[in-house]
Amino acid sequence: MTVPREVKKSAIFRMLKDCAPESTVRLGTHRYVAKYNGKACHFPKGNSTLEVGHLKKIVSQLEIDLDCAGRHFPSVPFPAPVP
Amino acid sequence: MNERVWPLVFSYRGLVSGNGFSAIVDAVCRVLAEEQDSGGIWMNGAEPGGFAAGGNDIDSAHEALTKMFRDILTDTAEEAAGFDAFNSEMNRFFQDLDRDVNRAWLKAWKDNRNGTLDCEPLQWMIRATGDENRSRVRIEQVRASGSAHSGALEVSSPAVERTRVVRRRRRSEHEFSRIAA
Repeated sequence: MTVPREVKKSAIFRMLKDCAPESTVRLGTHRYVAKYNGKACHFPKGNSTLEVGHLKKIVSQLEIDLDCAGRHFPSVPFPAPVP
Repeated sequence: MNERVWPLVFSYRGLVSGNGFSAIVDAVCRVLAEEQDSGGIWMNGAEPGGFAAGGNDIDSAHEALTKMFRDILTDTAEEAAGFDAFNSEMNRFFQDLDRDVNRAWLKAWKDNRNGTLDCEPLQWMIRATGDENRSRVRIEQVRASGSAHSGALEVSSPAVERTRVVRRRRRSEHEFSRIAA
């Protein structure tokens, strides 16, 4: 399966709503900030898509359930936790 | 799947202005550089963990990371009620590590210390050693207003201490890259 280089922000927001229902996403002047479970992740404002690395960073930094995130992005290989 | 990873130390020193204050931010961050299948480089914040950026090569990834960091600083300063709130928020940002990425950074750092990490593509980088590898932020309020910025990166390992400065990158005097050693 080909790994996408970019993903739609709207799909990320849907994933957050499903996998991290208490999460919040706020738009600042230059960047978005997503918060969940006492942690925060910043990502660019830019256009309607984000590099897939930002999606992986959001999932990793906010410690979102990998199975849930994987259901939303089946073609994205989320890295397994480092032992 | 990523091919190779490198433990980097990203340094930034710059002036930021907010509501009624200006401050100099002097920061060092642990960043894991990851080689992408596409050939690009992704730079993943370990400590602090809340930011990342990528590019077609190490230079453009570094520039993107510097811009991301600067955007976070600028927005945080604009959103803060004053210097104390900005200082508090930035310290909170720095304490927020990405556990998985930090573990990967530490593993890569140990591999580099043991000489088992392939750092050939980053041979030009300045080597960071000892305390230089630790994430930290120092924020100092100043009276002057204005803006300035800088950013830097390093790869980490004690074995490479002897190969100090290999090549200085073009950029401002505060803007360079180092590999954690």
